Amino acid sequence: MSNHTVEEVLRRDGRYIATPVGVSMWPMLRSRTDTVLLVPADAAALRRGDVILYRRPTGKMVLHRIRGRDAQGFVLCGDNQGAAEHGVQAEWIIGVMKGFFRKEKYIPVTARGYRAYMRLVLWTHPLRAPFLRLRDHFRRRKGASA
Amino acid sequence: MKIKPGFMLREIDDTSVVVAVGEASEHFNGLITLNTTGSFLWKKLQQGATEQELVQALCGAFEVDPDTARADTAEFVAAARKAGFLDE
Repeated sequence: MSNHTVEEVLRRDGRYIATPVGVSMWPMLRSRTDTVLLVPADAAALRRGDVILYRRPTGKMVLHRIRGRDAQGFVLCGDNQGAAEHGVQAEWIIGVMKGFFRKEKYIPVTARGYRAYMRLVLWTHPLRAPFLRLRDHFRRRKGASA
Repeated sequence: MKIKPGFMLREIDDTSVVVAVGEASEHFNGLITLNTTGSFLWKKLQQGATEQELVQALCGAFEVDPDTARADTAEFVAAARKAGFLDE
């Protein structure tokens, strides 16, 4: 048995399996329940819809979906989030999701059902975003007053 | 001896890794890579095998003499115990 960091394992084995924590990628990924298979990412080859793991300068690791690119860098957003994160730099990117385990079932990103889900999430995001932002706003207020 | 709930074996092609889900992931956020023998022993432990049963199973499944199997099993069980994977 051996224990290494994400970067070390990706470099050594070319893949990494992790258990995401948080609800930002719900309903696809359930916190502490589903696991994702990551492979090293070539930033130039990444496309809208890809789910990537990146490390912010604060050190926090995040797994979100690429919404696009702009002059500042990649634009990322969780499937269950209203506000996108701009300015994600290529050098922050650690890996890209190749598939995920939903309980015991492995679903590759090439699966037809997953592709349909991904398109649905991307296409409906502009419609869902205002409601998700409002929900996130009230959650933050509730959290601040608690 | 059994693997604690929350520790799952994930197999992709020729790689086997142990990940934590649920409550177990609150205390364990690393990644354990297992070789073929380790993966075999892990599956036996999921069923609740004793150390002696692990040795016997290893001898039956791999071309290995009992002394080597015993040593390998003891090493694996000690590592699993140290990592907190075992319910005993």
